[in-house]
Amino acid sequence: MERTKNKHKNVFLSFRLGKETFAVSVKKVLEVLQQQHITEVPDVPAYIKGVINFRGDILPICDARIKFNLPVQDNDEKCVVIVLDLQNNDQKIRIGAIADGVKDVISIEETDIRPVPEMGLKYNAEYLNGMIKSGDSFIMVLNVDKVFTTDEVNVINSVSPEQD
Amino acid sequence: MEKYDYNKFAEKFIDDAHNLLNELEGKLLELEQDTSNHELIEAVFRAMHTLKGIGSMFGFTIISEYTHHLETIYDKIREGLLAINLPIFEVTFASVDHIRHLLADQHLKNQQLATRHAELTQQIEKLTGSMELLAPDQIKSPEEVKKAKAANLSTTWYIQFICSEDFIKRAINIAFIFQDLAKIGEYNVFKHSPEIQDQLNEQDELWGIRLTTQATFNEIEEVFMFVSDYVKIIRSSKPSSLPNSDSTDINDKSQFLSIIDMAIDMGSEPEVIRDVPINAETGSKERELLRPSLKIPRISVGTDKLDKLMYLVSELFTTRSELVTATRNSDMTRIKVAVEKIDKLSSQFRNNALSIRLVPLRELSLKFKRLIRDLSNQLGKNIDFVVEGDETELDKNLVDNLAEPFLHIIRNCIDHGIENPEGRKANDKPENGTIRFVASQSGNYIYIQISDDGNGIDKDYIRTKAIEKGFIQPNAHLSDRELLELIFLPGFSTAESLTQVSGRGVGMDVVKRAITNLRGSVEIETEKGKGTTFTIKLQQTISIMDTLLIRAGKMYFAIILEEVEICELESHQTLCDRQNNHLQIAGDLLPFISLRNAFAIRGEAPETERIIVIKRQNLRFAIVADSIIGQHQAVIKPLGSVLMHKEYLSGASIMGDGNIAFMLDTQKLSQIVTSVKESNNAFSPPLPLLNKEGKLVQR
Repeated sequence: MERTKNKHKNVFLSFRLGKETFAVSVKKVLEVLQQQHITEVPDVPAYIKGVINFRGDILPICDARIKFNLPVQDNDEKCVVIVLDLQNNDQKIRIGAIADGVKDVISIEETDIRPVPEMGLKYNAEYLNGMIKSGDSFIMVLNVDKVFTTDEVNVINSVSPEQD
Repeated sequence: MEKYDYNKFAEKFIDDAHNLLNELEGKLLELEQDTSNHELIEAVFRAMHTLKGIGSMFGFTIISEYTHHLETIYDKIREGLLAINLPIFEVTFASVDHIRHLLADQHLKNQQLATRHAELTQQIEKLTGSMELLAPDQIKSPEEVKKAKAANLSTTWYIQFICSEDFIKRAINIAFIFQDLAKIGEYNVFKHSPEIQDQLNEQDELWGIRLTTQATFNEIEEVFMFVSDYVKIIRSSKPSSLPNSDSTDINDKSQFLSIIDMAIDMGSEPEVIRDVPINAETGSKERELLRPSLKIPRISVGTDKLDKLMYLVSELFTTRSELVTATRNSDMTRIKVAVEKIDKLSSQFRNNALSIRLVPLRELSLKFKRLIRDLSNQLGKNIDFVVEGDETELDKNLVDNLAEPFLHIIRNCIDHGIENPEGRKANDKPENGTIRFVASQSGNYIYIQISDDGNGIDKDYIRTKAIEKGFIQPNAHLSDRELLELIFLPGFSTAESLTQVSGRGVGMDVVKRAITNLRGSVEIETEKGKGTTFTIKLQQTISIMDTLLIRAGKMYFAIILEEVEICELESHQTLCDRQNNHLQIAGDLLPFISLRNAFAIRGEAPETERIIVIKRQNLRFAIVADSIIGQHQAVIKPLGSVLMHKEYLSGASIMGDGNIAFMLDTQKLSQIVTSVKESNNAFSPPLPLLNKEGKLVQR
């Protein structure tokens, strides 16, 4: 890849959660892990699936599907864990996020990222950095720093009653 | 000589000097209690003398000169020419602090330090009184008195110290050599002037030592036993009395001897001493280079521990080759044996590594002694400091981090706790207040108590203050313990008057936080009019622990092994029938917590469950689990910020099979037990206990 071209491009990792596609900036992604044995942690909110042994450290695993109220498929076999380095205020936090599968690495011009519409969206605009048009559908660019550092379980915009 | 090597050497000096200063301070404190003790006076003098000696050797001229002045006082004292008194102690203690500063800034670059230096020097001069302060060219002067007595029998020796690269690499502690030298006679160290160095035709750095002693050649040789390759001991032609600059009549001496004499003379001239090993141009730069490396904290380790380490290493290598051979021959039996050996060795390695990090608490208690002395003088209170068990060892990290909070507690004891002498008399107490510092070890835990016999903490006052500051409601009902806990809240300072000593806004909350960060706990007991006791409990080391691994459902938990008293069996049904969550174990009725219920673990409980009895200080309770896996040496990992608020889990450990076990915080669990017992109101989130049907209480 040419560097000069990349300068104005943002690179994203797209992944599936249920039927929807989301994207996260690759700068945040440390690694994608397959089929991990997750150890349950007692007494935690439901979106924390547990912990794994990641390079000798304890890594908490968040289930974004529960956060977004998306259906959780039972075939955990296919699930992947995306290891993310997050920034919360001054704190650096490393977590693993469960996804139903990673799709693609996409390179997008800055101008191709569309702002999040104020209305008619079922996700809280706060948790999205923008949207990318991909064919007929949209890929939602997650603001992972926000999504995974809030305790709020349901990040779906409560104003919108629409559901899958 | 290479700059780098010199720096390393100077760094070593600074290290040694700090040790000497600590020793000096300790002796001074003892001496202050027992002013007529000659041995102590000698010890103080010797420490100063050694400092002076090695100081001039490494070019810390200012320190060397300063120590020389200071030493003069003590020389006069030991000669009986000067009576020891408070001003002398004041100056000496101030000097000890001053020299510590000098070690960081030996060229007096800091203006403040320079002013202080002049001030103190003047004070010392005043004390030495009529005796004129001698310039360093007569550095021998304090010893002169002594020497005069023995002049007839003494001989002057010239010892040439060759400081080659090789010598530096061996990192020999020359401070010991000087201590030994001081025992046999009087000595001073000097640096050869360049021309002498040329004449001596040596490539390496040279130091000269002039020694006046009655000792024989062999005795001197013995002192230099370990460094004999680097020294030349030559009997000087000089008369044993102090060499004067005009006594350089060379007479019939060989040229070599005359050079040596010149060396001695030159060496005693101030200009030469000032011509320190670092040349002026690069000097400051080298200092700067030196500084960052100074930050590496050092630790002194007993040789027994190092010997053990070497033994372990050799064992490891033997076992390793056994394993290699056995693997090559596919000899399963021998492989098993070797693996078992390695298992044993690794735990020995662990213990050894941890023990190397342990340092006695004495490091701290010495600091406190000094603090108490200064503060009690300042506040006009008479305080005895009693130390017990300060040989107790604690991880170096812990000791370093404890100094601050402990100093704070002690400051509080002196300032708020202990009354002034009149007040004490009025209360029928001995005029001298007492602060006790008691340390003891129990298993992997260290208990440290700091107590005073002062006024105690006025609980009513705390209450009023807390209400005033809005920490509690006026009608709040608090137990005494809860009330005392309030003083650990940020912004809660109970000092009635803000004094210089304590009550500066940084309060006990800092103490609490510092100790909690070290995984310790602090408790206060107080009785009005009788005194206050702070009890601090800490783990001796915090990295690796012996734990008992237990399982409930699919979850694994680890408990610190030392807290486990006994393990028992009980049928599930019996447990469910216990409505008050109490169980009879070995004759005692104990509260219990079921892990399955506490953590809402899914699945059916086995018919027979395991009871693990936990003993914490004076509290016993039981944990109910599915099964006991066995012993596990846990490397404790933090749970990370996402899971940090999990109160009952203090960390996690990765097991041999890659699974993760959680460390149970028995302290927190025990609080639930007590709170259930006392108020029947569990901590939030409410911990579900067994209901009557023995089913899960869903959240």
